Amino acid sequence: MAAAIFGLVLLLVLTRPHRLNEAAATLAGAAGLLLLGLLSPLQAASTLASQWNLLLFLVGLMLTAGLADAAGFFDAAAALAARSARGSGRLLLLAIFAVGALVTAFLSNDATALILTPVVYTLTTRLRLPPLPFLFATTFVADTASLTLPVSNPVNVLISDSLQLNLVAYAEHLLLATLLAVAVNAGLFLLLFRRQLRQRFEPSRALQPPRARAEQRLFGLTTGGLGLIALAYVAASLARFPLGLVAIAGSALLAGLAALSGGLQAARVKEHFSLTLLGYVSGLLLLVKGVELTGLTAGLVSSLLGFAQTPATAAAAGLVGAAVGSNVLNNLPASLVLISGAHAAHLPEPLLRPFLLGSLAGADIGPNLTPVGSLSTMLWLLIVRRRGLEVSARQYVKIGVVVTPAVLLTAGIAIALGFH
Amino acid sequence: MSAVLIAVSEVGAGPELEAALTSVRLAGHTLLLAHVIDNGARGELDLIRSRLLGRPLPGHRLRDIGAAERDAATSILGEAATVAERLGAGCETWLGEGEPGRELVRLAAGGRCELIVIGARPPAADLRPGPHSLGSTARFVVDHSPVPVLLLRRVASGRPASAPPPVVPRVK
Repeated sequence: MAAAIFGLVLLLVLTRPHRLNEAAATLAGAAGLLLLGLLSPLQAASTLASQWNLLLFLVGLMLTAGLADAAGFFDAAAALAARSARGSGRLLLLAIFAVGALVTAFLSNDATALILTPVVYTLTTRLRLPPLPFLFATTFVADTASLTLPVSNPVNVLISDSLQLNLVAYAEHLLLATLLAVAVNAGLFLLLFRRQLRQRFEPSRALQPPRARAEQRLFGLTTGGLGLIALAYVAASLARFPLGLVAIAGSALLAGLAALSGGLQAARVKEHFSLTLLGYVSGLLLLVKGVELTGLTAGLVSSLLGFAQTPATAAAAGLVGAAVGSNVLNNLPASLVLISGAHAAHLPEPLLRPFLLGSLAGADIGPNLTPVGSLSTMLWLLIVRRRGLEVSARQYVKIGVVVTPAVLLTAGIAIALGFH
Repeated sequence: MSAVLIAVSEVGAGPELEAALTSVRLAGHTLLLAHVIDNGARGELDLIRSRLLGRPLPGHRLRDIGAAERDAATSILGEAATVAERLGAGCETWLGEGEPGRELVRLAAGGRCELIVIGARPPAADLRPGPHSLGSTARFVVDHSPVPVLLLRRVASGRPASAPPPVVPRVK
């Protein structure tokens, strides 16, 4: 019954009849579980309380990204990418990969996908370059580079919390995978978009009007504040200090600095804050708990691991399971199900860590494969649909279907070798 | 007087535009250099953001995008007009916004022009002839234009993307 409700809610979230709000769907599903007695109020409260770190982290992250955007940080980063590319389309693509990877590493994948993408579109319009390769680069790097640190993707917070990993252990298993995945992604993009990237551009077209003194001060203070937040994230991940507290403290610091320079624009910060996202995640946490109580998630993980008896194969099973799950269900519910199942199935320690780290990579990178999984593929689907499929649909399909498995395979091999 | 509509792509002045200008008999015609700001990408970014975050693109971001699009379009048309003047052709410019093919056809249907000159594909695309060698804008214009269309093909070196299909003998 709980599984049926979970399935129905996911179907509603994916199809959105009458533009139904995602949060309304997951919260209504959770309310259904409570009303039918499939989840007790106490269990619900303890589930949400145990994930306070994730929920605080999401709030802090949205506020930090909003404050950084209001201070002009993303525009300045894009302008820097344009200057450093010195007129070459290829170098600009690489520079955008680098900016996207840095923003993703410290401000998470959503900041890159939702805030940096429109900024990159504005930049390429000014530079009169074909925008598609650069938009795809931004949305893909948001997923590929989200392996970098525990703060780079909400899924990483969930999994490193559940494994109680510190940064050293995290990097030991994932740093090489991240670097290789980003390199393969960038290399394939240079190859697939080689025609469009041959075009050169006039860097002066990206010139921004000089900032007023007050704006300059706000930008300088915010950039300094972001540097401190990045350091604090690294220190907190090393010491296993809750990242949610760091994210909230970081956003308070940026708000304080903005107020100090007289440039705190609450309305502009609010534009990046979404209660829907918090409601959606809270509802999901409760729904997955309900399904976990039925023993289904443990059964799923046990069957996934049926053929995987070594750490390396467990990592591969996690990666494939999470990548497929992310495309069927979206990556947050998919990783919640796998985490819940891995713990409920009492996986032995030598398999638990590789399985969940494999799942982390699958849930981070996997969404690029199909339209359900993530922003970037939704982007190509929309473009293909709008262009009436007659342009070169193959080219767009190639991007998701060729690049994502190659990047996943690279990350998977790097992670599996680490456990070998 | 009726004019010849020249569709100007986002590349602006370049060999494609010069080919377009010299391929029509310039004397006796007014040229209408037309460029359309494709606002589709902006709409898509807005849609995706609304879908993922439950909020549309912030107003300041939409204004930035709009300003960038207008600045780029103005300089594209300015460059094109300079080229036309250099080649001794009198011209007017026209800037539209929307889906490029649809807007060009709408402009032609207004009775202001007797011929549309358009490139087969954007210069950055695969220029080899063969199936699917027309870009979306050119295809829409060819399909829907109320006036004759002069399609310019700048063929890149190399073999066609695919050979024409073989003739299949009819079986009685």
